[in-house]
Amino acid sequence: MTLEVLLQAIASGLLMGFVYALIAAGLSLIFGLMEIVNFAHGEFLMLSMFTTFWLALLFGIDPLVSVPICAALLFLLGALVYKGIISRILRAPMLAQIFATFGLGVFLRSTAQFLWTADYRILPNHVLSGRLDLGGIFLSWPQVVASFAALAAVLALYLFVMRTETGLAIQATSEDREAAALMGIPGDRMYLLGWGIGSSCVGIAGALLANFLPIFPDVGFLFALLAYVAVALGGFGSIVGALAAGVIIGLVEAVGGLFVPSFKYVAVFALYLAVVLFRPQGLFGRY
Amino acid sequence: MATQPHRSLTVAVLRGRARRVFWCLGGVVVALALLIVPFILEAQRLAHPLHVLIMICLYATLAQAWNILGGYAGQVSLGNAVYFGTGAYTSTLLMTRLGLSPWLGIPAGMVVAVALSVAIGYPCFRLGGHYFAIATIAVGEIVHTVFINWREVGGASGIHLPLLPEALINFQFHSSKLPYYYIAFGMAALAFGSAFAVERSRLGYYLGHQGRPARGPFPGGGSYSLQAVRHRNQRGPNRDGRHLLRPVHPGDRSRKRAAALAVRPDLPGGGAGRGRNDLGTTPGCRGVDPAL
Repeated sequence: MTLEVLLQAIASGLLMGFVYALIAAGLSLIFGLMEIVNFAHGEFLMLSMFTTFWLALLFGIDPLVSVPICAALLFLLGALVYKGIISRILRAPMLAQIFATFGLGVFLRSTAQFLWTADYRILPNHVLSGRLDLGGIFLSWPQVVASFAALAAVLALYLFVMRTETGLAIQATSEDREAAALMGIPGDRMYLLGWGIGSSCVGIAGALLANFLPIFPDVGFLFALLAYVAVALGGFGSIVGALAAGVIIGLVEAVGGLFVPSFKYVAVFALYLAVVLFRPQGLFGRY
Repeated sequence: MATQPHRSLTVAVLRGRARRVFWCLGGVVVALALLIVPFILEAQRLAHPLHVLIMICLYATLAQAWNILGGYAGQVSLGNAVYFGTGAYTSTLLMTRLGLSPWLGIPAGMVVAVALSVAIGYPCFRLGGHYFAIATIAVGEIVHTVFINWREVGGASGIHLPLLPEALINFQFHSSKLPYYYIAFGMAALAFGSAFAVERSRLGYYLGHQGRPARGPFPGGGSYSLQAVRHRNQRGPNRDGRHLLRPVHPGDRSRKRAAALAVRPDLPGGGAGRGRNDLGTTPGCRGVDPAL
């Protein structure tokens, strides 16, 4: 194996890693806020990809233009899910919390299959195409744009949570909802915002991925699984952890794929298990 | 004045007993119906409803197996399909390679599944809550990938059982599905029986304690061996049923089945074998009316 191939794998791995990081960051934000894992996260991604697809097919809207549209729509979906389901199970046992979102995921996936069949679909023609030649390393433009946009979104999310007043309010709520309420922070609204923002992260990722990946009802499963692994690896509730873990997973997947193509995800999951067994709170976790 | 508490106590005890009798009678009626109805279906040549009943028994067994870990002990496993598939693969391989009857394959599958579950459970129970749930998904995906790529056991297309003459020893019945039903029913009864046994045993009390949600990475820390015991127990009687679904392929252990069986047990508190969720989590209060 030449150095070139290895560099190629590392570059592709990094690019995918940023997208994984964005999906994981949305999940992580929600968990950090209220300790609920959104097991329908992958289905949110799938809905965003289908939205992009239909916008392109029916209204001729380019996937790049539908990034903000998907972000807004998924924000609404997240807020609706919070209002309709999550706010009712905030104090329920963990079992009920897991299965509420797990069931929502099954429901969304089956509905998508019912409405749009299980066929794989590919966006026909879009602005982004072609490849980028970096001295022998070839990267496709859609992937490059997707990954840098995803990185930008993760950084924006980080700055929002760390630097803005609303972000601080979200952090305060995640530390202690009652104490935050005494300071005049409406916990319910912060939760709503958290779900909205977490979902719009996955909405952005979905619109970006639709540029170069096939779209089908089950598409979210793998991404969601990698996102859970990224969140647990990085530590629940840590955006920096999600970014680091996303990149690690992208690299392990790409480089592992060079050596053992059909076992690349085994490598990813085995790495995750190994880390978590020695450091149960993840790399950057608080708990 | 002094007699008042005594009277309410007596009333409460009586009420508790009446409720128990009611549930027992209800259980007997349902069990009898489940034994008799298939005969009627068979006589009417209604094959599909019979098939549905068989699947109900199978899913009930899987759900009860999940319930022991998820309901009583409060650990959410989303990778139980691994153990279902292990049982199916073991007995199928024993039959196709060594010509062993599935009746020997079933206990062999149980042993292998138990060994695998202990090997997986022992390290994984260091994790709790969401971390455990996600670890089980990861383990499930690893095993799924391994089996898809494992040529010797059929790879992605799986193994097909040969068509054998109809006989109890071959575990194949072609003229009627009735034997499958009674086997599945017996399996479900065994699963419910072992759930009851666990609930009534010291283990059940320990598990009920484990089931209380705890925060932090080590809920119920220091009890790994106990959780491993329960993990093992749950694998008990849910091993067969795949002879009915003839081809055994990696899809068997896919997340779909895990989802199907993970969703089944009663949700809110989880736990009780009879669907009452006040027993599993607070075993100390069993049979005592909350009105006390």
